[in-house]
Amino acid sequence: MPEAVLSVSRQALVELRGVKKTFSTSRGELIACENINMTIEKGRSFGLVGESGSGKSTVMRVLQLLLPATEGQIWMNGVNVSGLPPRKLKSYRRNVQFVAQDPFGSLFPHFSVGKNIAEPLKIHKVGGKAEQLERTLDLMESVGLAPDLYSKFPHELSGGQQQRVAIARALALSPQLLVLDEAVASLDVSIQAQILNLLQEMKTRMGLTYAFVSHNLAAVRLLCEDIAVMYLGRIVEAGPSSEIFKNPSHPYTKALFQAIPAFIGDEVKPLPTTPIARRDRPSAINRPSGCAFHTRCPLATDVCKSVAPEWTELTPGHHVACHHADEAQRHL
Amino acid sequence: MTPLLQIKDLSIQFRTDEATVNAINGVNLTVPAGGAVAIVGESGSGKSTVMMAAPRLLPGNAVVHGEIWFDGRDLMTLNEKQMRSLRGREIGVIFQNPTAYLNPTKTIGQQIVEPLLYHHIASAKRAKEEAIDLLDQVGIGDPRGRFDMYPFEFSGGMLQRVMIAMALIASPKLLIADEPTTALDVTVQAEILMLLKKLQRERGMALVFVTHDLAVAAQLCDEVYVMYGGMVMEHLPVPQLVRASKHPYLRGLIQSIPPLDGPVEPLPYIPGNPISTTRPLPAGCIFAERCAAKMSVCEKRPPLIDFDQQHQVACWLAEKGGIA
Repeated sequence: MPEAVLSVSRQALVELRGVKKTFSTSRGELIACENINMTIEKGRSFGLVGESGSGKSTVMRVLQLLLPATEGQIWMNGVNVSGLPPRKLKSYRRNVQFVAQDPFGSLFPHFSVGKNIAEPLKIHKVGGKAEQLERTLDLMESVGLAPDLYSKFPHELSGGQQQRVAIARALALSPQLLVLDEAVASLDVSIQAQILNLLQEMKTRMGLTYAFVSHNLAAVRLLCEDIAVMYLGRIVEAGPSSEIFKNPSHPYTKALFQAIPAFIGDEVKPLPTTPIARRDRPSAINRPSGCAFHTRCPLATDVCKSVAPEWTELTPGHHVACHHADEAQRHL
Repeated sequence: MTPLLQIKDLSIQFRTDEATVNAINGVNLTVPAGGAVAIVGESGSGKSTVMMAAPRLLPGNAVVHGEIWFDGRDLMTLNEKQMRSLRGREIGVIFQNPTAYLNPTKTIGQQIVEPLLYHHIASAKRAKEEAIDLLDQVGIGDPRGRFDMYPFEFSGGMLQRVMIAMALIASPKLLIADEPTTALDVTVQAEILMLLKKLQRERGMALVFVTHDLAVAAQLCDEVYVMYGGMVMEHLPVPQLVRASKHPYLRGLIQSIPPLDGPVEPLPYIPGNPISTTRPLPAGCIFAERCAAKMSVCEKRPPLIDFDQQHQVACWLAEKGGIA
């Protein structure tokens, strides 16, 4: 689809406004995420990247209303769904479906492939038995599963096939948004490429919107038009992925890029020379003052230790929260 | 360079009640002293099995045939006592999941000094000093204080550093690292890789790095063995990995890595699923059913053909000069 068409019809599907989620632990309050503002637009895919513990999965759980937000609102299609009572959420859940990282763990082991895929149809009472069967076979075809796998059990399938079943099940209710939490991370390289292609192709074919959580920036690049980078519970850089890949402006985003093992042309990318993981990584319970990244940042100055950086717009849609974004662009 | 580890015609089967798994089907590989060798493959390719056979750490139902020469001895002929004097002293091993290999009820200090005490290499007092020194080298801040802490007080990346310290404390000639960075964040992975590379060079130690990630293998190692279905498909030096690899399986793997630059477009991929080693293997090339370049000659299984010095390919195409 040409870019112009998309930009004309750009419309928010899901919006997070000022979302904060805290957990109380024996060691004090843990702020899993805060100040989360993001818009997932219809037909565009949104990638959320960051290290483990950055809060990206929490954000996705809050978005799916699987966890109540401590503060803030979740809007879908212009409705504030975070205020709805649980019994009114069924239609929201129908519209937002989920594919997890571990395909085997997310399927019912004692259900056949067909039964696994048809389960959402039963729960939401969609059609009669014959229609459900027909829908299940259609879904299997659209994710590239042969019909003779219908009565097999998850343990009889390969990892890639299991993930296809999980995707088919997530699509059963024709959701508008598919949340993919590290959905290709546990797959072998050759299978990962198959699933990434399938997701990409289905997105165009069915007009789906994805919220894709991953630590694999290359996979995000393939699938998502928009990206947000999270560090210790906050978004530190966000914008169109073409822009962020061309011009990463937060030292943390830069560090993530440098750390990815990859081939560039015929050569392997050398190991980074300025490591940022360093000895001690701060935790969400003891969040550093000022900019939370200053303990690991090669560009940190005194101002970073005391003042939290403002959110600035570099180019249309490309935002960064860093005191030294200019320097990061030029030097790192 | 003289070979430190030489595996010859290794085959390993696992006998279970239901089936026999042909995990390794005739593998030859050589690790030069002081060299860094990567074993790359997808799950079920036998990459871990082949390396766990060297320190003889396979489960009891494994049937192993072949020779494993390490520093002038065939490890297959040693008894358990002789093997135990080798493990931890001459061969160090680190694994993917450090929490599963560390004792949660002992401090990390107690566990790091164990190889030195077990092999009577040092007194308890000296062992502690060496451990603290090594903890510092692997990048653990406040090593003296951390020495008395328990595994649960460390993050995953820190525990992997502890594992590295434990594997290295007796100065082994060979370090086997089995996916040590797979469970870690990319930023932490990069640091562990840099650390391993530095320690390997400084100590002149041989390193075998088992991984599913070709780029990681290329960042760290000098040569790569690519495995599929319990066999070596291709062996070549790292600088030639992308430029000169010949086997359609390896070519396919390289192409299916999502790139970080260039146009965003569908990835070329290898169709089908990895071969299952629980079923009898086909008589011909084991990759043929997924191979786009399949020919009639592929009904016969190709041997590992010398394509160049240091470069062997198990594909009939290599005989004709490789695929275009």
